[in-house]
Amino acid sequence: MLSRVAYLGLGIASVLLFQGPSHAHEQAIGLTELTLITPADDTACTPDTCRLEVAHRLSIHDAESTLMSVLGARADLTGDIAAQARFETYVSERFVITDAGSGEPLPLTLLGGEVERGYYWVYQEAQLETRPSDLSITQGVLMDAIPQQTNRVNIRHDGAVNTLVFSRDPGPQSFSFD
Amino acid sequence: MRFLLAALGAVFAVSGAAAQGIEQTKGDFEDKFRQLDEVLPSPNVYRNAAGEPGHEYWQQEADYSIKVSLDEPTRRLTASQTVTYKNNSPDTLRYLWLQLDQNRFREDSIAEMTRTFSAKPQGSVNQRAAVTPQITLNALRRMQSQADNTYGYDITRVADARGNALPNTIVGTLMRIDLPRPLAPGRSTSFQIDWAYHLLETKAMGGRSGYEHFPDDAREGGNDIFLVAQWFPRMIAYSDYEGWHNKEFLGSGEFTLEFGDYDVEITVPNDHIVSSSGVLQNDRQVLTATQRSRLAESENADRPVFVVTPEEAEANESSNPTGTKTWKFEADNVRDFAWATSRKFAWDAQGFKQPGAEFETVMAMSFYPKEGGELWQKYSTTSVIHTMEVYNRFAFDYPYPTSQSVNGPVGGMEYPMITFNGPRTTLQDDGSRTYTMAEKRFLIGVVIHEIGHIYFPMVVNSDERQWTWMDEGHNSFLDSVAGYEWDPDIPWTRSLPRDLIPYMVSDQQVPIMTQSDSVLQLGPNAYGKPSAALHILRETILGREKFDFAFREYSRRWKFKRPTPSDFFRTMEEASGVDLDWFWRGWFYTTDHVDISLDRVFQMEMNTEDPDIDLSRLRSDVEGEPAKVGVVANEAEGMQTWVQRFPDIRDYYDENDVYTVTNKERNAYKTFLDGLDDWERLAFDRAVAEDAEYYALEFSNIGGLVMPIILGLEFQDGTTEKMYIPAEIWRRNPHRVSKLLVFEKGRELSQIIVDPDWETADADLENNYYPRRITPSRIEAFKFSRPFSYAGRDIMQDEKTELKTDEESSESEDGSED
Repeated sequence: MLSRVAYLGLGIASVLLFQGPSHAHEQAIGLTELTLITPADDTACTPDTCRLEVAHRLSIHDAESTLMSVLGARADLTGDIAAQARFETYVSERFVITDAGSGEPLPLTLLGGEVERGYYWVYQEAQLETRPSDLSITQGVLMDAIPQQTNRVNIRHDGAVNTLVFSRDPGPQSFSFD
Repeated sequence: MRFLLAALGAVFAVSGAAAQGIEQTKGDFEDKFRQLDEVLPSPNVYRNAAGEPGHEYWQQEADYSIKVSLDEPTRRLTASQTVTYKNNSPDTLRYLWLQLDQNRFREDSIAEMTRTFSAKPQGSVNQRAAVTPQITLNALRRMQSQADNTYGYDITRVADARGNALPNTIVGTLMRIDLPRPLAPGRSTSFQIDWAYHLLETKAMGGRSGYEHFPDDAREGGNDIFLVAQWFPRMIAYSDYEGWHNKEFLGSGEFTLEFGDYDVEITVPNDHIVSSSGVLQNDRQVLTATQRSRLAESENADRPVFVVTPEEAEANESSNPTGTKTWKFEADNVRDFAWATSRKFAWDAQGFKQPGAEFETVMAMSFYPKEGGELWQKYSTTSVIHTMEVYNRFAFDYPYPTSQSVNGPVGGMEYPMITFNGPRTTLQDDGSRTYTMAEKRFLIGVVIHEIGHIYFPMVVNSDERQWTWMDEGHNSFLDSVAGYEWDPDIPWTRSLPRDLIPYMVSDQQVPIMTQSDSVLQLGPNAYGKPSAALHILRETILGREKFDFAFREYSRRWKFKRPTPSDFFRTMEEASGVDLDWFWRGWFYTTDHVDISLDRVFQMEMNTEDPDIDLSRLRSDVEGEPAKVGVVANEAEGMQTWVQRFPDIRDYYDENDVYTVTNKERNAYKTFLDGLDDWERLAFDRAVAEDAEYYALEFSNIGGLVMPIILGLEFQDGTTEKMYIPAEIWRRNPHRVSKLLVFEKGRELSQIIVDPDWETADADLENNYYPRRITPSRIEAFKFSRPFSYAGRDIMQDEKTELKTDEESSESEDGSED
């Protein structure tokens, strides 16, 4: 046991994690809406006409707990702009989309976030040069602080909705648009 | 008997709306309105067709007499209990099953052995570094706790009422006691168990009970808060539809239990305060005179009264016990028993009055350490009372003498008369304690939710393990009602139809009525979606009067009994008088979502058949068409047409166009009128006279879930109207339907909106508008505006900010963080 701890020492030092407050009755569910926008007439993609819109919906309470656990900082997402910025950055670090073919991560721009009733939304966007075909998605938002967190990703494209479920495990999971 | 139960079980296990036996294999007709009878279990003498307990309804009874003591330094409970079990079933029982929930934490339990390890890196962006699996400190702490302690029960004695040892077999978290003589219907038996176990550290091991350590308290060795639940070996339920509900406890599922009476004696250090299910019997022995008189005063107070003040509680943190005290509690007609103890507790109480109820005064009480702070002082007990005020209207008068909220390491959990709730204040550097709006909302919400659970399922005793939604869904619905009655400006979430849309459109979901212990069946399926369905049923489909009457009837019928989903479905229909099978089928048995689209609107005008009128209308219709671009261009060029160059050559047709009316047409009109029967003539004349506005609307059902069509109508004269078309409009064709709307002459529509108030969880708003509106995506809308929320700044803390001088201000502008 001890030797195993030592071997993983480097990993642990970089992942200082504590159990947040107990969440026996929180739903611990995150939702991400990922929408692929392409030209209506099926022409080829250009960065002007093709993009991925990403909207993450997290419960403010879970988000605040995570910020406190992970960043060691008191967080008030409804009023504190600095906390909002920190949280948005945190989300953008935990959500990664990679092109399965090239292995390159998609260039997701963090647009910002906003409060809506009891949810905090974080928005991202990626301009696309070509229509994506196979993606690899990692969604680990809130999982470092809330072990039972489940993140659902609704992928909307061509009039359909396909869902990836990340249950206690950030992935990656693969998705094919075809 | 087992055979019959197995057969009923098979009927039960239908997970989809596609009924066995009836299959539509031609065309694409789906009968969304087919009656649910073929899917529900057959009514019988235990649960009848009306949804009531049948005339031979039975349930078992289990009474407990427990003496338990807590050794604080070792955190060990030692106890001796007597169980009296009454067999009200028609079956003879040769053995009894009990559950030993603490055994879940044994190193060799199924739960522990099947814990999975995620070897993947936790969400690292840097893919290159993330090759080594990482272990969280949390997981390490848990492993160390497991290694340092022996968890699970030490059972030292199992004996009958006379003290003779009883043969017993432990199977993981279950124990089977073999009875020396079979227990016949109507008979009782008693047995004794002596046991002990180590309470676990909740934050390390998880779970819904245990202790939390406070090393920084002003006492050598610090202090603990102990929350004691799932703590004693207890009877497993034996029911008419499943027999023994004996399944290994893996930790996430909850419980099915029997009602009974408890008398429990709890021995703890003599400087502790104990909160427990039931009523304290020996207050003179364990409370001081001051505490007793404060408690008496609180019975008739209109604000909480401290029985132990926060100052006294904080001072008590440094106390050392000089002995023990035994607190004696009795609880009648409960399905479980829990308690909490600590020297850190402040205690406030207020009597809640229910005139005419069995318990006319209910003691609402809260127990919390200094870490609960003003948040708890202000909001805990009053939330308890608010919950009872609201739930009493929807279900029945609170059926117990006390209702408690206790702060500890458990985030939210419910037991008869006592709940554990986690939210706390945060200690600031200046020593003060503050909280955010989200934390306040969370405390009020969780207290309401947990106290609400005392109604569902602690009293309306549904099977939490098989049908989690029956208590979580009902309770989420009612807690959102109570939340909005507390303050509609506090942004409650998760239970309204609009919140469920992303879940309902996803392709990774199972129907609510999927019967399983599967871990995937969580959150939205058990809490949110059923709650949204009940909101829709109440506000949109049945209306409050019918819904509230039926819901109260359901609660009354199954108070202190064990209902199943079909009992709920049947009761709601029978008591409201409305056929709801299509609703249950759509919301609970399928994964369809709501998306009704208004595809086309035709505006029509009635032909009068009178050529003098109709033909001139046709002429003005044509004149109203845009001019031909070629003709306009010619005129612009100054071109002269033939008729302009030779104006003297004219004939009849230059004066009379194709819309000219002659007697031939007028005669045809008269023939038409004469050919009508009297009743036809009446209808026709009237329609012509009214000259109403006719609109034909075409709808399609894209989501699959049939719902009423609610229309918001806006007229050109500025007036608006809301129209409700019942869901039955979809009965002949669940995919497409047309509806004719008629308005009096002059009332022309300018806009139609389907579901204008977002009542039905319609997933696509864009196809609800006619004419279509440009609906920006959420991201597009965000990019155009960047809203800042003023709501809920932690002003309490921000107020302490010192105003910066000019020097300080320019320093921080240089880049150092505030």
